[in-house]
Amino acid sequence: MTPSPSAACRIRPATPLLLLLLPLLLLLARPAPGAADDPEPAPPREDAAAVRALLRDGTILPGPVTLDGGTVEVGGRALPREALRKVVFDRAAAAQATAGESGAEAAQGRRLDGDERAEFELWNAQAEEMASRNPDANYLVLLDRIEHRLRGDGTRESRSRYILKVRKEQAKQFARLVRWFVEGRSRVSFPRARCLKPGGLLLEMDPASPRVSTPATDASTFIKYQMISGMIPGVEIGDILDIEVLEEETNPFKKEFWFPQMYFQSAEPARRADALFAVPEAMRLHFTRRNIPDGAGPHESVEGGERIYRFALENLPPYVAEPLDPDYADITPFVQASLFRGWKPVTDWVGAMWAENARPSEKLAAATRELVKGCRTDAEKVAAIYHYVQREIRYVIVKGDMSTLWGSWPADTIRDQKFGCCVDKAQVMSAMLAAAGIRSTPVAINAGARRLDPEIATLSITHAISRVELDGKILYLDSTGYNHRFPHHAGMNHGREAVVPELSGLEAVPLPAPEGNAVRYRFDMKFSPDGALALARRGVFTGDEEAMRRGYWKSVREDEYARVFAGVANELAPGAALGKFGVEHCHDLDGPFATVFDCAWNDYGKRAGDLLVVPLPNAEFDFPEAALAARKYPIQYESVNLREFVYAFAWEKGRLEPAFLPEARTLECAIASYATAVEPSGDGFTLTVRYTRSGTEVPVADYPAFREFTAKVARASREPLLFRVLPEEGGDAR
Amino acid sequence: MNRIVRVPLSALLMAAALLAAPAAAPADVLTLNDGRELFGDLVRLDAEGALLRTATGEIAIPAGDLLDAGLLRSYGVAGESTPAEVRDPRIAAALASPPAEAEYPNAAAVVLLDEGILAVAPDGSTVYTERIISSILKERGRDEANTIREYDPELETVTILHARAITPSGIFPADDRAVADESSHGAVPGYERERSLKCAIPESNPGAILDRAFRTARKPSPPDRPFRLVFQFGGAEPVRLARFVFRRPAGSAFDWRVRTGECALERTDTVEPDGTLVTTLEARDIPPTPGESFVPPDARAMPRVVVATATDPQALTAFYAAELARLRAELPGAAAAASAFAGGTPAGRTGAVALHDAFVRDILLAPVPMEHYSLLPSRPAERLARKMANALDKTFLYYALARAAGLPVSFCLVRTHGEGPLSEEPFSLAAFDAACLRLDLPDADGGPVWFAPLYENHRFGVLPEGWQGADALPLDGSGDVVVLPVDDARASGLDRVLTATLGADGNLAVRAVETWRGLYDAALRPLKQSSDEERLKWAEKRLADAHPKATLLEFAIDGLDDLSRDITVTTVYRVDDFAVAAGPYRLFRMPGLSRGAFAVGDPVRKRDLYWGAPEAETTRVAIRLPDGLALRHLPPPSATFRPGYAHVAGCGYSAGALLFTDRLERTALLAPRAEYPRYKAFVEAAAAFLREWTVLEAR
Repeated sequence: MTPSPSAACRIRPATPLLLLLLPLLLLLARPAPGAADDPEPAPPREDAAAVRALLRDGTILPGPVTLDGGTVEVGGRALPREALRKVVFDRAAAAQATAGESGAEAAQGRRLDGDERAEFELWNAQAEEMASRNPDANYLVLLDRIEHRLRGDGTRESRSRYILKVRKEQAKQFARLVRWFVEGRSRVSFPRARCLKPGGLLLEMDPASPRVSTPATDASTFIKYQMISGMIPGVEIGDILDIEVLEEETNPFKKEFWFPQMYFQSAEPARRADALFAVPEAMRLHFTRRNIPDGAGPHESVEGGERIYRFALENLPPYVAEPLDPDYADITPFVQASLFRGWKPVTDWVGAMWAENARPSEKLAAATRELVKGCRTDAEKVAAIYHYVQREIRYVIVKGDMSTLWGSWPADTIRDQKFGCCVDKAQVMSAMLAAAGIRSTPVAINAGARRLDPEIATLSITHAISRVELDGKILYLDSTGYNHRFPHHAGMNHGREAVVPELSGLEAVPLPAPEGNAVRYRFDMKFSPDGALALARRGVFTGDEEAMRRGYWKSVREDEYARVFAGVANELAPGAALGKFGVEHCHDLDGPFATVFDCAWNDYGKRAGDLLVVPLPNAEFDFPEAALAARKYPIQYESVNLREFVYAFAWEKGRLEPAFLPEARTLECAIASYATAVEPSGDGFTLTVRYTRSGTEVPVADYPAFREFTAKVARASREPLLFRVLPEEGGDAR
Repeated sequence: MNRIVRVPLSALLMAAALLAAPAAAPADVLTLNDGRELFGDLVRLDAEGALLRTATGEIAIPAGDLLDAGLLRSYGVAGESTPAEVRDPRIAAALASPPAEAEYPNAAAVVLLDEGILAVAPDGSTVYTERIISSILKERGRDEANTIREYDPELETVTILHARAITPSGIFPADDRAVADESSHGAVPGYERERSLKCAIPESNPGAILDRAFRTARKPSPPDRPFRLVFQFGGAEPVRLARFVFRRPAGSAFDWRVRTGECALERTDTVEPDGTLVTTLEARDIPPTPGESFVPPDARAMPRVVVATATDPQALTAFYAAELARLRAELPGAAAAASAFAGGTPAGRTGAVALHDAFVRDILLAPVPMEHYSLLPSRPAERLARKMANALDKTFLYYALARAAGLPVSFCLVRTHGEGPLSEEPFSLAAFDAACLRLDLPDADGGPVWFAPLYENHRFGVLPEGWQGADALPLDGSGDVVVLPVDDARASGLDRVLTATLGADGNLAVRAVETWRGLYDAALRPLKQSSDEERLKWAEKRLADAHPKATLLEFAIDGLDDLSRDITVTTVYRVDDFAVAAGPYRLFRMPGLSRGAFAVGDPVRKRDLYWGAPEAETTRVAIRLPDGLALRHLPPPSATFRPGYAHVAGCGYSAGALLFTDRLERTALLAPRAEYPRYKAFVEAAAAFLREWTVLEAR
């Protein structure tokens, strides 16, 4: 499905913070359209810009604007230079409505005329038929259509049409129409935004009512898009909404970069979803197609000087998310087009900017030499630079247009201001590594999003990391966060395709060994016949497991550590008395992050007559991703995982004897194993539990076996120890 | 104008690389149609194009290539371009002797100065000047470098006076690249009014001193948008000096209240020669607030001063009631609309409920707080036509419809718990942040009902968390503030009844029936938006949380679409190996419940305990035991009773079956920290019961 009419109704979950750039990337990579009420608008002339001045007090004045040194004149009015913030040469023409508050729409409504009534009755009949098959639907999509059109002059349009029947409250959100655009590059209009009541009354959004605003983003994001929003009045359950959105890109930054796409399936059933991609007849399009049924397209034709490719799917079921399912575009019908095959035009374009921005100045080179002067090996140098960039450059997104959005700021600028986003930090990495004599390059990667196609390029890419040549091997590092210790990097990159300029294409980022994303706990436990337990726990972590915990503990004030550790102990069993506690390498990346604490309980083990029942702390394995009896989609983990728990038990001799201990066992499935081992040690024994997952995907066909495996692991991990309490001399165990 | 030339990419990239300004010296920026951004000093701009001066010379860009031209401003302090030139003695002292981690081992930042100066002019206009200076000690303290100021553009302007980081090596001011003026609610048509100005300061790593100042100028406040300002002493990081200065002319309508709490506030009052009254409140060395859970909102706990254009309750109610009457008159056809919602003329409680249930479903709730838009309702005809309204407008719209239909409904302004007690600040319309209604029925019909017709998932009469026990002002002319009722614990919660059979193999077959009530019901009711498949997956995931080894056999959920009924969830499932085999023994714990005691690990607390509403949960589990296994051990009973909360649980055996019962109830909304040890024991006892084992033994 194309982006839904209301941001509130998007069916995909929110993306992580790192992916905040995605909307703008999508926006700028998107096609463009013709005027709302003019089906064939004349291409705007290059010099036909509408000039506007934005003043610092928020006032917008029409041009012309002249500036000469300290003198500014706007529309014949002299202003001090300090009053002027920005001058826009708007080739998106017919300016969007100005910023301000939405006016009230005339919600008078009118009766449908004859043709309209016939159309409405047809839709109602279709909706009735769909409702009989989907009585529980939130809304019914009668038509989900997009027409992407590339014009001869390189400008573009996307015209989307949605016809849907509102069945439950939530679907009324579709009455809110919200779209983004970039001033001077694109514009949005709503040629059709109407609500058809069951009784035949039609309510339309006042075309003058949508308003433009600068939308609020979080405190650390500064990007230049604008939003237009409007509302269809009076929408109620039972109404049919008929919405057409026209998005035009009249000033594309690069004419050959056109990557239109279509998501056909939504969270609700669709009667028909179709897409049209049109280019001038002399041009051809190349497609990536995912989950498109045979016969659904592309159907190619030449009509009126255009080469047209059509896709059409009918009777689409709703997409219902499953735990840890892959990206939506990878498991539902999806197409994306490009004017060329391969990635070279993209890698050449972005590679040139990156090469320039990642060139270190002498100042940065000198600082780098100082940073690595104590390092004995290249690996140590890479680690020092990696840790420096992570920690010293704060994550703030500051973007202007494409050269800073994709190309980044120069490395020196980022290092000087000490803030930047993923691609900015990757420039600093490469610049500093270059200064240290180590080859590297920034690369783009679709972390947490759909898989990239090696043949069909796109600019809908979410993230940027670094590709480093170290000791003859390729190493990937991600300096965006603050908490990954060399050579670990965020799991969302693992196994994904990186866009590598020097390869003019893609390269897979390797998966680490499970030890690279590990949780290791050691528990030293000594208990008494009354159930009292003295426990010492030490946890050491790697990969995301380490970064996540380090990030959390960094956010905790040091005088709150006791409260948190006491809570952790009390969660193991209520009534915990916390002893010593602490964290290691929390505020540095020089060693593995670790947590340690001692605690004691009077009744951790529960007496059951002459038995003492002792559950294993932290041992219970849960697999929410295996909760469903059956799945339609694979399980896709971000990365591999190792969890190793070592329990060293000791107890008061002569008062307790083991009545039941977990047996040594090994459970296995295609991508994971669970093993327990028991060995005598000292006064007691040591139990080792080791769960290893070396793969990241469970295909649907393997799911039943995987689920059975997880059930066995869950059961085994919950087995308590059982001791028999021996009577004291002359006493009674009970 | 210089000759217009087209510049090759390589030259422009070089220019960008050389001139993309370091934070301390921002340049202007020209953005070209091809996406490139060029930095330099904009010398000239006209219809022909632009001339940009760069370090390598001047570049002329034709107008046809230009997308926009930005004039970047930096937010430094005039005359202070190096650390040595900084005049502020606090900053100079901090640079000479930075706050050390040894002095503040627990802090990520130290606020050296948190100052607010409010100046009221004789015409009622105000200028509020803030200055915050902080020293960054740890990475998490860097968030101090991002600031947002929200404002009402119709009455206020906000100006960044300066925003900079100062280190021993230099001064790094923010500039326009990281400053944005945005619409807070731009995606909510009809409610776009509030804006926010935000700013990120560069170079804010540990060791940096952040210094920022803002000025908010406000026109004289109209009666429907009175002035209100809150200055809080202290926060999440230690504060060396917090100072609030209040300057106002004699006889000003501005009133103020101070809550000192445990903070030692030093007050000085002076009168300037022109008669201006100046009050200064200072607090030094304020410790940070603890990060405990279940704490009262800061507005109820922190030392603060609130200034507002005060009024008296009678005047406010008279003014507001008159405004409501005027607005009600602007809704012709209200009675018919009410009938349309209710499916007939609504009368009595039944009619009010029918109107409520249809109204909350059909009018979309706009997520814009009243203080971000208007303290008076909007024109109801517009909101009704849109079928969307924020909380205030939606409440008023129901009120207007109900009154037109003859229902005895009255309107009340509400001060929710999140804003603190009403008595602790000047009485003002701006002190209220919500509205609710009271349906006045004869006692025979159950007496008055307080309700907020807002949420499609709330049943009639269920007040949201944070409203129960809150202050409210009925517009009945008396001016008397009332306290909204607090629900009985039984009103919100969950009742579970499990009927189970344990097999000789240790498998447990369960039929569970749950009844969700009140706010619990409201939390579950959004499932009505889901399809059957989504609900089934929800049930499977929920069961897996409780019993990872379980298999769901049947599932039904009733009452989701009917606000007149509680929601009932019925599940039938099997848990393989529920009873752990350990030699001759079978062991298990009470099924269907899990509880932890994470929140009460600490032996002591620093802040009081707070909850939004009462709650009660009951669970009853009957398990038929298999032949061949004898009962060896039963969990001991548990009982804790304290004023405000109680837990009772036990397990019995009779005629081949076990019966577990567990009841947990909390009626308290607030418990002083001195009560915490007893509350901790209560929570731990409730958690401990679920860790007790039942042991069966082969006969």
